[in-house]
Amino acid sequence: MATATAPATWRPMNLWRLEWLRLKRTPRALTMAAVFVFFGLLQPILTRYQSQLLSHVGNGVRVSFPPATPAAGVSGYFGELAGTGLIVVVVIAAGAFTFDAHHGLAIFLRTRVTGFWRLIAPRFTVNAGAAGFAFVLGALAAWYETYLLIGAPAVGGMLAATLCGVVSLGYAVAVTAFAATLVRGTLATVGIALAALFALPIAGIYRPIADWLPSALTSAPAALLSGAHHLSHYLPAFAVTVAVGAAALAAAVARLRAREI
Amino acid sequence: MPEFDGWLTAAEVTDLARSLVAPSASKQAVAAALAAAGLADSAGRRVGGFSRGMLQRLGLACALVGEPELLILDEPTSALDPAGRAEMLSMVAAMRGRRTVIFSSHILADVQRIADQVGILRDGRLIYQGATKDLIDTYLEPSWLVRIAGDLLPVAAALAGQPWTTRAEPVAADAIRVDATSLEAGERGIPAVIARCGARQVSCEPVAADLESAFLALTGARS
Repeated sequence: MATATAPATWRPMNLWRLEWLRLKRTPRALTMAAVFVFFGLLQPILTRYQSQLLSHVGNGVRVSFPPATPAAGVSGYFGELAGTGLIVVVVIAAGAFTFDAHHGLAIFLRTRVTGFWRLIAPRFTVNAGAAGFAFVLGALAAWYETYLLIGAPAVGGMLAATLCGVVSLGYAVAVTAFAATLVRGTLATVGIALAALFALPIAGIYRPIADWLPSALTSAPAALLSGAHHLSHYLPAFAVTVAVGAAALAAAVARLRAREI
Repeated sequence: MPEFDGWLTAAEVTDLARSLVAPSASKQAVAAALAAAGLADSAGRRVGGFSRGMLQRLGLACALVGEPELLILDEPTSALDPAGRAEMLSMVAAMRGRRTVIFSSHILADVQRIADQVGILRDGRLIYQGATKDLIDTYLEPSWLVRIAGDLLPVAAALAGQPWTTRAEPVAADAIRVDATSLEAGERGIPAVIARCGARQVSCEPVAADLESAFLALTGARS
């Protein structure tokens, strides 16, 4: 039998490092960054050349657009908050939160942790942080390419819109954490989380509450970039988003505690 | 069967277990647990490529890293090949004298090999608890295989006629299986009957008592 010698290169493991390694050793981090950077690079091109692109596929029909503005160049990227980018973040987060889907893994974790917040906190923080970082990378790519092709977008509007995006993605990860405690499978968790996130804008049809809903943050970038609204206009939505996100995490911990393996 | 994230190495999985159950333990405890589970050479390998036997051993390493006084193993040899089963049993047997191991199994040969004490559950009730040896001695009728040179039928008939015999029948051309009501009755009675018959005894071997037979005797007696 080999001797019991501790390799000098070992780095201490804990639940935080586990989540970091989950991002690093699986395609999760790369996928998130690639998706947001891809759309960050694509949207300014589509905005700048939309007339030419449509004239090539329009069978001779000529479509005229007003000249592309820097705000329009980056707005397309922020639309991913309610599109592909959001779906990718939810799918990746669901993979981390659905440990109960694997019986042996659930036993390993549940019989060793002393509180379920210890399981939820690193998963939420690392996934929300990675999603936010990927989103910022994409925003930088969108800003740079818009600057090259159309002109420099307003820095204040960009920062405000990016803040809305980062908070929205954190909220989406919190909702996914709660969804994972309603069902066990990853696919079902993704379905419930996306249904909740996509259904929320419907409630915004009722105007008096529209500015208070978390979904207001996903539509805020267009108004912030064009200068139609200031960031302070969205403070109620920020407050509600943070409160509901925190409530979703607390509810996730309570439901995990009550659930049998 | 234990499950772990396949992109972690065996050392990282064991170290994660250490951080959760014994955070003050040193890195050396992780190496010692892996070595005790026979995984020292695979410490740096990702567990996604591990066989079932290696996963079982990794599960054992995760349990051992906290130096538990009591270890509960639920069917640790299930789904293992004979070599893996033997390794797991050897590891559990090596813990004798250092910690209490509660080991559940349907494979009674495994239990007999490593357990000092045994409990038998039926329909959710504990119908026996005590030393493994006592169970075998108490619930198994003593048996012998008697080999005779020449005609064995008269000897079988004479043995069957004894009050202490529960069964005496030929099982081969030169062998009689004899079951007695007690060890002492058989040991005294069998040689005497053979002598009275004038038969030539080649050998008289006790049939090895096993836990499986004792289990069947116990559960059959209570049915």
